[in-house]
Amino acid sequence: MQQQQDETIEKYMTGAMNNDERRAFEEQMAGDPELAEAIRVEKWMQAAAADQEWIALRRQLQQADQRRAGTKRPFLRPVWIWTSAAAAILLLAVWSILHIGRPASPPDYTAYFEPYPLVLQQRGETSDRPGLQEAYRSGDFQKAVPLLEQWAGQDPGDITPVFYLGIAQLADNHPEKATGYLQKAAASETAFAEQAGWYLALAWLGSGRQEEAVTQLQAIIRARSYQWEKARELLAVIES
Amino acid sequence: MAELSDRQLLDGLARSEGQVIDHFYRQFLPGLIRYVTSRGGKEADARDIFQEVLLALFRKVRSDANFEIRAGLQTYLFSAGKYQWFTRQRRTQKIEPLEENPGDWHVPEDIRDTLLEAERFQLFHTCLEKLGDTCRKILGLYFQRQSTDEIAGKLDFSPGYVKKKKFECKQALKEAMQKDPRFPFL
Repeated sequence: MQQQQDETIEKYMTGAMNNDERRAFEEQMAGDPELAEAIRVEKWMQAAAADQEWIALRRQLQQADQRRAGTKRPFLRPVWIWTSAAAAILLLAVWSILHIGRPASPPDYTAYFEPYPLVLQQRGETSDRPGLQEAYRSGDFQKAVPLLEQWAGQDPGDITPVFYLGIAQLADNHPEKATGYLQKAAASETAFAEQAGWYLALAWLGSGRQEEAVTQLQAIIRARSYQWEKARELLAVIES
Repeated sequence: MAELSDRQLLDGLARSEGQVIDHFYRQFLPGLIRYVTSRGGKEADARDIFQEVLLALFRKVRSDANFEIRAGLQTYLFSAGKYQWFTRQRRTQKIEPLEENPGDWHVPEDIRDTLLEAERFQLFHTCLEKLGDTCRKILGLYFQRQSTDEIAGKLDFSPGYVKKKKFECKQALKEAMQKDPRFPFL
Protein backbone atom coordinates (compact mmCIF):
# COMPACT_ATOMS: atom_id res chain seq x y z
CA MET A 1 0.00 0.00 0.00
CA GLN A 2 2.74 2.40 1.07
CA GLN A 3 4.88 1.34 -1.86
CA GLN A 4 1.97 1.97 -4.21
CA GLN A 5 1.50 5.46 -2.77
CA ASP A 6 5.21 6.10 -3.15
CA GLU A 7 5.04 5.11 -6.82
CA THR A 8 2.05 7.42 -7.35
CA ILE A 9 3.96 10.29 -5.75
CA GLU A 10 6.92 9.57 -8.05
CA LYS A 11 4.60 9.61 -11.04
CA TYR A 12 3.22 12.98 -9.92
CA MET A 13 6.66 14.43 -9.25
CA THR A 14 8.11 13.35 -12.59
CA GLY A 15 5.17 14.77 -14.50
CA ALA A 16 4.16 11.33 -15.77
CA MET A 17 0.46 11.85 -14.93
CA ASN A 18 -2.00 13.07 -17.50
CA ASN A 19 -4.10 16.17 -16.74
CA ASP A 20 -7.05 14.24 -15.30
CA GLU A 21 -4.83 12.09 -13.09
CA ARG A 22 -2.92 15.11 -11.86
CA ARG A 23 -6.09 17.07 -11.05
CA ALA A 24 -7.57 14.11 -9.16
CA PHE A 25 -4.31 13.57 -7.27
CA GLU A 26 -4.10 17.24 -6.29
CA GLU A 27 -7.68 17.15 -5.03
CA GLN A 28 -6.84 14.09 -2.98
CA MET A 29 -3.75 15.86 -1.65
CA ALA A 30 -5.81 18.90 -0.58
CA GLY A 31 -7.97 16.70 1.64
CA ASP A 32 -5.23 14.42 2.95
CA PRO A 33 -2.61 16.11 5.16
CA GLU A 34 -0.50 12.95 5.35
CA LEU A 35 -0.26 12.76 1.58
CA ALA A 36 0.52 16.48 1.40
CA GLU A 37 3.32 15.95 3.96
CA ALA A 38 4.70 13.01 1.94
CA ILE A 39 4.84 15.25 -1.15
CA ARG A 40 6.53 18.01 0.84
CA VAL A 41 9.26 15.61 2.03
CA GLU A 42 9.67 14.19 -1.48
CA LYS A 43 10.14 17.72 -2.88
CA TRP A 44 12.60 18.48 -0.07
CA MET A 45 14.65 15.38 -0.90
CA GLN A 46 14.58 16.05 -4.63
CA ALA A 47 15.71 19.66 -4.12
CA ALA A 48 18.53 18.70 -1.72
CA ALA A 49 19.76 15.92 -4.01
CA ALA A 50 19.73 18.12 -7.09
CA ASP A 51 21.56 21.09 -5.61
CA GLN A 52 24.93 20.46 -7.24
CA GLU A 53 26.38 23.82 -6.16
CA TRP A 54 25.73 23.13 -2.51
CA ILE A 55 26.80 19.49 -2.81
CA ALA A 56 30.19 20.55 -4.21
CA LEU A 57 30.59 23.31 -1.63
CA ARG A 58 29.57 21.02 1.23
CA ARG A 59 32.32 18.60 0.27
CA GLN A 60 34.83 21.45 0.20
CA LEU A 61 33.63 22.71 3.58
CA GLN A 62 33.99 19.26 5.11
CA GLN A 63 37.52 18.97 3.74
CA ALA A 64 38.43 22.44 5.06
CA ASP A 65 36.99 21.50 8.44
CA GLN A 66 39.03 18.29 8.48
CA ARG A 67 42.19 20.19 7.55
CA ARG A 68 41.53 22.71 10.32
CA ALA A 69 40.89 19.94 12.83
CA GLY A 70 44.06 18.18 11.69
CA THR A 71 46.26 21.24 12.21
CA LYS A 72 44.75 22.87 15.30
CA ARG A 73 46.57 22.65 18.58
CA PRO A 74 44.62 22.65 21.82
CA PHE A 75 45.16 25.67 24.03
CA LEU A 76 47.20 24.73 27.09
CA ARG A 77 47.89 26.87 30.14
CA PRO A 78 51.65 26.96 31.03
CA VAL A 79 51.20 24.87 34.18
CA TRP A 80 49.49 22.19 32.13
CA ILE A 81 52.28 22.22 29.57
CA TRP A 82 54.79 21.24 32.27
CA THR A 83 52.44 18.73 33.87
CA SER A 84 51.70 17.19 30.48
CA ALA A 85 55.39 17.06 29.61
CA ALA A 86 56.21 15.34 32.89
CA ALA A 87 53.38 12.84 32.37
CA ALA A 88 54.54 12.16 28.81
CA ILE A 89 58.12 11.50 29.98
CA LEU A 90 56.84 9.16 32.68
CA LEU A 91 54.62 7.31 30.22
CA LEU A 92 57.50 7.04 27.75
CA ALA A 93 59.74 5.60 30.45
CA VAL A 94 57.11 3.01 31.45
CA TRP A 95 56.45 2.17 27.81
CA SER A 96 60.20 1.75 27.11
CA ILE A 97 60.57 -0.62 30.04
CA LEU A 98 57.64 -2.72 28.85
CA HIS A 99 58.42 -2.69 25.15
CA ILE A 100 62.19 -2.55 24.97
CA GLY A 101 63.42 -4.79 22.22
CA ARG A 102 59.87 -5.25 20.93
CA PRO A 103 59.23 -2.59 18.29
CA ALA A 104 55.49 -2.02 17.75
CA SER A 105 54.33 -2.84 14.26
CA PRO A 106 51.35 -1.18 12.60
CA PRO A 107 48.27 -3.33 11.92
CA ASP A 108 48.20 -5.16 8.62
CA TYR A 109 46.02 -3.18 6.22
CA THR A 110 45.13 -6.31 4.26
CA ALA A 111 43.05 -7.51 7.22
CA TYR A 112 40.72 -4.56 6.58
CA PHE A 113 40.91 -4.53 2.81
CA GLU A 114 38.26 -5.83 0.45
CA PRO A 115 38.35 -4.80 -3.22
CA TYR A 116 35.57 -2.39 -4.10
CA PRO A 117 33.11 -4.06 -6.52
CA LEU A 118 33.67 -3.09 -10.12
CA VAL A 119 30.76 -0.81 -10.97
CA LEU A 120 30.81 0.36 -14.56
CA GLN A 121 28.77 3.46 -15.17
CA GLN A 122 27.74 2.58 -18.68
CA ARG A 123 26.98 -0.86 -19.97
CA GLY A 124 29.13 -0.32 -23.06
CA GLU A 125 32.23 0.11 -20.92
CA THR A 126 32.55 -3.61 -20.33
CA SER A 127 32.52 -4.57 -23.96
CA ASP A 128 34.86 -1.68 -24.82
CA ARG A 129 37.46 -3.06 -22.40
CA PRO A 130 37.58 -6.80 -22.88
CA GLY A 131 39.13 -8.69 -20.03
CA LEU A 132 38.95 -5.98 -17.38
CA GLN A 133 35.78 -7.19 -15.76
CA GLU A 134 36.98 -10.78 -15.83
CA ALA A 135 40.43 -9.95 -14.45
CA TYR A 136 39.13 -7.67 -11.72
CA ARG A 137 36.32 -9.91 -10.56
CA SER A 138 38.50 -13.00 -10.54
CA GLY A 139 41.09 -11.18 -8.40
CA ASP A 140 43.78 -11.09 -11.10
CA PHE A 141 44.87 -7.54 -10.29
CA GLN A 142 48.22 -7.81 -12.06
CA LYS A 143 46.25 -8.28 -15.25
CA ALA A 144 43.69 -5.59 -14.33
CA VAL A 145 46.29 -2.85 -13.71
CA PRO A 146 47.52 -2.42 -17.34
CA LEU A 147 43.91 -2.52 -18.59
CA LEU A 148 42.95 0.22 -16.13
CA GLU A 149 46.06 2.23 -17.08
CA GLN A 150 45.04 1.97 -20.70
CA TRP A 151 41.53 3.20 -19.82
CA ALA A 152 42.93 6.09 -17.76
CA GLY A 153 45.14 7.05 -20.71
CA GLN A 154 42.19 7.04 -23.09
CA ASP A 155 39.93 9.11 -20.78
CA PRO A 156 42.20 11.35 -18.71
CA GLY A 157 39.18 13.21 -17.28
CA ASP A 158 37.47 10.07 -16.03
CA ILE A 159 38.13 9.35 -12.36
CA THR A 160 36.69 5.81 -12.50
CA PRO A 161 39.86 4.06 -13.78
CA VAL A 162 41.98 6.17 -11.40
CA PHE A 163 39.93 4.96 -8.42
CA TYR A 164 40.12 1.33 -9.53
CA LEU A 165 43.86 1.62 -10.19
CA GLY A 166 44.22 2.58 -6.53
CA ILE A 167 42.16 -0.42 -5.48
CA ALA A 168 44.01 -2.79 -7.80
CA GLN A 169 47.43 -1.59 -6.56
CA LEU A 170 46.31 -2.06 -2.97
CA ALA A 171 44.99 -5.51 -3.77
CA ASP A 172 48.28 -6.35 -5.45
CA ASN A 173 50.23 -5.33 -2.32
CA HIS A 174 51.55 -2.04 -3.68
CA PRO A 175 50.04 0.45 -1.21
CA GLU A 176 52.67 3.08 -1.97
CA LYS A 177 51.65 3.04 -5.65
CA ALA A 178 47.98 3.21 -4.65
CA THR A 179 48.23 6.46 -2.65
CA GLY A 180 48.61 8.78 -5.66
CA TYR A 181 45.58 7.34 -7.43
CA LEU A 182 43.46 7.32 -4.30
CA GLN A 183 44.41 10.87 -3.32
CA LYS A 184 43.27 12.02 -6.74
CA ALA A 185 39.99 10.07 -6.48
CA ALA A 186 39.36 11.26 -2.91
CA ALA A 187 39.81 14.90 -3.94
CA SER A 188 37.44 14.54 -6.89
CA GLU A 189 33.80 15.48 -6.77
CA THR A 190 32.57 12.12 -7.94
CA ALA A 191 30.62 9.24 -6.49
CA PHE A 192 33.95 7.51 -5.73
CA ALA A 193 35.42 10.26 -3.56
CA GLU A 194 34.07 8.95 -0.28
CA GLN A 195 35.06 5.34 -0.93
CA ALA A 196 38.51 6.48 -2.05
CA GLY A 197 38.95 8.12 1.38
CA TRP A 198 38.70 4.76 3.15
CA TYR A 199 41.07 3.01 0.75
CA LEU A 200 43.49 5.93 1.00
CA ALA A 201 43.65 5.39 4.78
CA LEU A 202 44.58 1.75 4.15
CA ALA A 203 47.15 2.77 1.54
CA TRP A 204 48.80 5.21 3.99
CA LEU A 205 48.87 2.47 6.60
CA GLY A 206 50.38 -0.05 4.21
CA SER A 207 53.01 2.50 3.11
CA GLY A 208 54.14 2.98 6.70
CA ARG A 209 52.70 6.51 6.86
CA GLN A 210 50.77 6.00 10.04
CA GLU A 211 50.27 9.67 10.84
CA GLU A 212 48.50 10.28 7.53
CA ALA A 213 46.47 7.09 8.03
CA VAL A 214 45.33 8.27 11.46
CA THR A 215 44.34 11.72 10.14
CA GLN A 216 42.41 10.12 7.29
CA LEU A 217 40.64 7.64 9.60
CA GLN A 218 39.68 10.43 11.99
CA ALA A 219 38.21 12.38 9.09
CA ILE A 220 36.17 9.35 7.97
CA ILE A 221 34.83 8.80 11.49
CA ARG A 222 33.99 12.47 11.96
CA ALA A 223 32.12 12.66 8.66
CA ARG A 224 30.44 9.26 9.23
CA SER A 225 31.45 8.49 5.67
CA TYR A 226 32.02 5.20 3.87
CA GLN A 227 33.26 2.42 6.23
CA TRP A 228 33.37 4.75 9.23
CA GLU A 229 32.67 1.93 11.66
CA LYS A 230 35.58 -0.10 10.29
CA ALA A 231 37.67 3.08 10.43
CA ARG A 232 36.84 3.43 14.13
CA GLU A 233 37.81 -0.17 14.74
CA LEU A 234 41.11 0.20 12.87
CA LEU A 235 41.93 3.47 14.64
CA ALA A 236 41.38 1.79 18.00
CA VAL A 237 43.83 -0.96 16.98
CA ILE A 238 46.44 1.59 15.86
CA GLU A 239 46.09 3.61 19.04
CA SER A 240 46.13 0.62 21.39
CA MET B 1 47.80 34.04 2.97
CA ALA B 2 47.80 37.85 2.87
CA GLU B 3 45.07 39.73 4.72
CA LEU B 4 41.96 39.79 2.56
CA SER B 5 39.17 42.32 2.61
CA ASP B 6 35.57 41.27 3.23
CA ARG B 7 34.87 41.86 -0.47
CA GLN B 8 37.73 39.58 -1.52
CA LEU B 9 36.55 36.91 0.90
CA LEU B 10 32.98 37.07 -0.39
CA ASP B 11 34.17 36.92 -4.01
CA GLY B 12 36.47 34.00 -3.17
CA LEU B 13 33.61 32.17 -1.48
CA ALA B 14 31.41 32.75 -4.53
CA ARG B 15 34.11 31.06 -6.62
CA SER B 16 34.56 28.26 -4.02
CA GLU B 17 38.27 29.01 -3.71
CA GLY B 18 39.88 26.46 -1.39
CA GLN B 19 42.28 28.94 0.23
CA VAL B 20 39.45 31.35 0.98
CA ILE B 21 37.34 28.58 2.49
CA ASP B 22 40.30 27.54 4.66
CA HIS B 23 40.61 31.19 5.72
CA PHE B 24 36.94 31.26 6.77
CA TYR B 25 37.49 28.19 8.94
CA ARG B 26 40.70 29.48 10.51
CA GLN B 27 39.50 33.00 11.08
CA PHE B 28 35.85 32.73 12.01
CA LEU B 29 35.02 29.24 13.29
CA PRO B 30 36.98 29.34 16.60
CA GLY B 31 34.87 32.29 17.87
CA LEU B 32 31.64 30.43 17.17
CA ILE B 33 32.99 27.26 18.83
CA ARG B 34 33.82 29.29 21.96
CA TYR B 35 30.33 30.82 21.95
CA VAL B 36 28.49 27.52 21.51
CA THR B 37 30.60 25.46 23.92
CA SER B 38 30.35 28.15 26.60
CA ARG B 39 26.57 27.75 26.41
CA GLY B 40 26.44 24.00 26.84
CA GLY B 41 26.77 23.03 23.17
CA LYS B 42 29.34 20.77 21.62
CA GLU B 43 32.07 21.68 19.16
CA ALA B 44 30.28 19.51 16.59
CA ASP B 45 27.16 21.70 16.95
CA ALA B 46 29.23 24.79 16.22
CA ARG B 47 30.83 23.15 13.18
CA ASP B 48 27.42 22.10 11.81
CA ILE B 49 26.06 25.59 12.30
CA PHE B 50 29.11 27.18 10.70
CA GLN B 51 28.66 24.96 7.65
CA GLU B 52 25.01 25.99 7.35
CA VAL B 53 25.94 29.66 7.64
CA LEU B 54 28.60 29.33 4.92
CA LEU B 55 26.20 27.46 2.62
CA ALA B 56 23.62 30.22 3.09
CA LEU B 57 26.18 33.00 2.58
CA PHE B 58 27.49 31.25 -0.55
CA ARG B 59 23.94 31.14 -1.95
CA LYS B 60 23.56 34.87 -1.27
CA VAL B 61 26.82 35.89 -2.94
CA ARG B 62 26.19 33.60 -5.91
CA SER B 63 22.76 35.03 -6.52
CA ASP B 64 23.75 38.66 -6.02
CA ALA B 65 27.22 39.74 -7.13
CA ASN B 66 26.77 43.08 -5.34
CA PHE B 67 25.73 41.50 -2.06
CA GLU B 68 27.23 43.60 0.71
CA ILE B 69 27.53 43.21 4.43
CA ARG B 70 27.45 46.59 6.12
CA ALA B 71 28.14 45.30 9.63
CA GLY B 72 31.36 43.56 8.53
CA LEU B 73 31.85 39.93 7.62
CA GLN B 74 32.99 38.80 11.08
CA THR B 75 29.97 40.38 12.79
CA TYR B 76 27.65 38.97 10.16
CA LEU B 77 28.96 35.40 10.42
CA PHE B 78 28.94 35.49 14.19
CA SER B 79 25.40 36.92 14.30
CA ALA B 80 24.15 34.30 11.84
CA GLY B 81 25.86 31.55 13.86
CA LYS B 82 24.34 32.83 17.12
CA TYR B 83 20.96 33.06 15.45
CA GLN B 84 21.20 29.44 14.29
CA TRP B 85 22.32 28.29 17.72
CA PHE B 86 19.50 30.20 19.40
CA THR B 87 17.00 28.75 16.91
CA ARG B 88 18.17 25.19 17.61
CA GLN B 89 18.00 25.75 21.36
CA ARG B 90 14.56 27.30 21.19
CA ARG B 91 13.26 24.31 19.20
CA THR B 92 14.48 21.82 21.74
CA GLN B 93 13.52 24.19 24.60
CA LYS B 94 16.78 23.54 26.32
CA ILE B 95 17.33 27.16 27.25
CA GLU B 96 15.46 30.40 27.02
CA PRO B 97 18.10 33.11 26.82
CA LEU B 98 15.98 36.10 27.78
CA GLU B 99 18.68 38.65 27.15
CA GLU B 100 19.16 37.52 23.57
CA ASN B 101 16.53 38.43 21.05
CA PRO B 102 17.27 37.14 17.54
CA GLY B 103 15.37 40.08 16.14
CA ASP B 104 18.17 42.36 17.32
CA TRP B 105 20.89 40.56 15.44
CA HIS B 106 22.29 41.63 12.11
CA VAL B 107 20.79 38.69 10.22
CA PRO B 108 18.43 39.85 7.48
CA GLU B 109 15.16 38.00 6.95
CA ASP B 110 16.17 36.75 3.51
CA ILE B 111 19.21 34.86 4.78
CA ARG B 112 17.10 33.34 7.56
CA ASP B 113 15.09 31.59 4.85
CA THR B 114 18.31 30.43 3.18
CA LEU B 115 19.60 29.16 6.53
CA LEU B 116 16.44 27.09 6.87
CA GLU B 117 16.98 25.73 3.37
CA ALA B 118 20.59 24.91 4.30
CA GLU B 119 19.39 23.01 7.37
CA ARG B 120 17.03 20.94 5.22
CA PHE B 121 19.85 20.26 2.78
CA GLN B 122 22.22 19.24 5.59
CA LEU B 123 19.70 16.96 7.25
CA PHE B 124 18.99 15.17 3.98
CA HIS B 125 22.66 14.60 3.14
CA THR B 126 23.63 13.64 6.69
CA CYS B 127 20.90 10.98 6.74
CA LEU B 128 21.71 9.81 3.21
CA GLU B 129 25.37 9.30 4.17
CA LYS B 130 24.36 7.02 7.02
CA LEU B 131 22.63 4.56 4.69
CA GLY B 132 24.41 1.51 3.34
CA ASP B 133 26.42 1.59 0.16
CA THR B 134 23.75 -0.07 -2.02
CA CYS B 135 21.04 2.30 -0.81
CA ARG B 136 23.21 5.34 -1.48
CA LYS B 137 23.97 4.14 -5.00
CA ILE B 138 20.36 3.36 -5.84
CA LEU B 139 19.03 6.59 -4.35
CA GLY B 140 21.83 8.61 -5.93
CA LEU B 141 20.73 7.43 -9.36
CA TYR B 142 17.03 7.73 -8.47
CA PHE B 143 17.49 11.37 -7.50
CA GLN B 144 19.25 11.91 -10.84
CA ARG B 145 15.90 10.94 -12.34
CA GLN B 146 17.14 7.59 -13.65
CA SER B 147 14.42 5.01 -14.26
CA THR B 148 14.30 1.68 -12.43
CA ASP B 149 15.53 -0.09 -15.58
CA GLU B 150 18.43 2.35 -15.99
CA ILE B 151 19.45 1.92 -12.34
CA ALA B 152 19.24 -1.86 -12.71
CA GLY B 153 21.46 -1.71 -15.81
CA LYS B 154 24.08 0.49 -14.18
CA LEU B 155 24.32 -1.43 -10.94
CA ASP B 156 23.94 -4.90 -12.40
CA PHE B 157 20.76 -5.69 -10.42
CA SER B 158 17.40 -6.96 -11.62
CA PRO B 159 14.69 -4.27 -12.09
CA GLY B 160 12.50 -6.06 -9.55
CA TYR B 161 15.23 -5.89 -6.92
CA VAL B 162 15.89 -2.20 -7.64
CA LYS B 163 12.18 -1.38 -7.34
CA LYS B 164 11.91 -3.13 -3.97
CA LYS B 165 15.22 -1.84 -2.67
CA LYS B 166 14.55 1.73 -3.79
CA PHE B 167 11.34 1.79 -1.77
CA GLU B 168 13.07 0.34 1.31
CA CYS B 169 15.96 2.80 1.01
CA LYS B 170 13.64 5.77 0.64
CA GLN B 171 11.68 4.65 3.69
CA ALA B 172 14.91 4.28 5.69
CA LEU B 173 16.02 7.73 4.59
CA LYS B 174 12.69 9.34 5.48
CA GLU B 175 12.62 7.60 8.86
CA ALA B 176 16.12 8.82 9.65
CA MET B 177 15.13 12.37 8.73
CA GLN B 178 11.91 12.20 10.73
CA LYS B 179 13.74 10.94 13.80
CA ASP B 180 15.91 14.04 13.87
CA PRO B 181 14.56 16.55 16.42
CA ARG B 182 14.90 19.35 13.84
CA PHE B 183 12.58 17.67 11.35
CA PRO B 184 9.23 19.10 12.57
CA PHE B 185 10.64 22.63 12.29
CA LEU B 186 12.04 22.34 8.78
